[in-house]
Amino acid sequence: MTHRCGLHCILSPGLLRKIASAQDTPAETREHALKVLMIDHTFRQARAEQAAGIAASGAGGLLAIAGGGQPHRLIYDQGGSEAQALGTLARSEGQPAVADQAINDAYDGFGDTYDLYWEVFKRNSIDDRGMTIYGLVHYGHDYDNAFWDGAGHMWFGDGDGKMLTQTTKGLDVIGHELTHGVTQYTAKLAYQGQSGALNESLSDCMGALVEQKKKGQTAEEASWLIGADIVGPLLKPALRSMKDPGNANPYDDQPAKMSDYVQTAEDSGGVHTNSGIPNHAFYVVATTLGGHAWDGAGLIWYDAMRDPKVKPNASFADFARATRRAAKQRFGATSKEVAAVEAGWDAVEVKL
Amino acid sequence: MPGEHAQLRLRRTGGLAGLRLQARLDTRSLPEAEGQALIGALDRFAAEPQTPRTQSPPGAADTMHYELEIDRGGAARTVSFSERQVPEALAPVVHALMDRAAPVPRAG
Repeated sequence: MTHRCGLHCILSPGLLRKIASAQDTPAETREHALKVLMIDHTFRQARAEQAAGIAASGAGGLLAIAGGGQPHRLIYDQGGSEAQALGTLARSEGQPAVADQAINDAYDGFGDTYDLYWEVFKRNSIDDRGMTIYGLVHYGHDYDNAFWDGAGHMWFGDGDGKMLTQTTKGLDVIGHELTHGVTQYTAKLAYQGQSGALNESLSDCMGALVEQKKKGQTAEEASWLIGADIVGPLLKPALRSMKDPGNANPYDDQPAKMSDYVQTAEDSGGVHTNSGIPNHAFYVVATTLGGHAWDGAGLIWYDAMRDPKVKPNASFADFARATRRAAKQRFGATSKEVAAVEAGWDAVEVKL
Repeated sequence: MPGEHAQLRLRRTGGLAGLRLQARLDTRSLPEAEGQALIGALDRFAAEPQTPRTQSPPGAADTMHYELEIDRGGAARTVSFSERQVPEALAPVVHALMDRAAPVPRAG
């Protein structure tokens, strides 16, 4: 950011926005203007909060803003307990690997997830203010789950070996859980019905991207499976398939299009079931565009997550329209990205 | 009291995997001490003041939910709770049923 002061000091945010959105602006300049806008916004926000006397709390304070680009991870060992308090601190930021691989997998997985958000989306952790990333590993006995608790912590079970195995082994699973936190701080999608299924789908999309980016895979090379590294024999080969929803394992009942939408009271209105629909839309967009999915579909979806028009009770169609707006804004109204987004939602029968 | 029994059915939904698990258990099918321990747990739960249990904490995601049907010969009673709010008295009942639970295959 050696040129930052030039643009930052002279140009107004309004002009920067014009530069960033003008179609004839060279890509490099646009990217630079966007970066400056982001930093400018961050500092304006920090100054405003300082002026308002809001205390910088925890890792989300000014220090973290200035030091963006570096996660702050704390990994706890719950020791098989089902207690809801933090266990023993097993590895904190900057400490070398420990003997317990599950602890290291959580630490590294959070690092890779942080990197996707920072390097691709310029987001500084869960809250974009450098929030501490808490991983609570070895939760419960034979516990077949991992979850986001809504209060800043991610809990990971060891699995029973039949349905699930050690859940920290799944990089996409770690990305999935952390993204629930990002959603809580952005679109705030209510965990019920279509908005809940969108919430689930965003976690699958971003989880898949974390893994694809780590492996350097293109959309064509990626498996588009979720949880392939954490399933036991009962659920092999994976929990879900974004490419082929409904066929990931013998129990998978995900639909791939609106006419197969599942009406149910269970699982908050089938949030892990109907997420197959937006999941598949994302897959179609990413594979239509080709190349690295995080550079196209990922950016569009991330913009839509932060679109103020996407309300907590957003429907699939509301979110779909936000992705089209984002594609137009970022890539231009007649871009191949807009066409791909339209093809994606059309494939799953969501009307734009 | 000896001879008392309960028929139990537990359904677990939600969680990262989005699986539905189900188990049934008749306490008469258990060794007597084990069956009576579960009856004791159900008695303790019945004696507790019943507080409404919300589905899950706001913002939480991928937590699991339980639905427990208790039939003690009279009218069956169903209680629902999030995995984060399992009534303390029912924890051994949930464990006993989960040991016997199997995933429900997809329809069709």
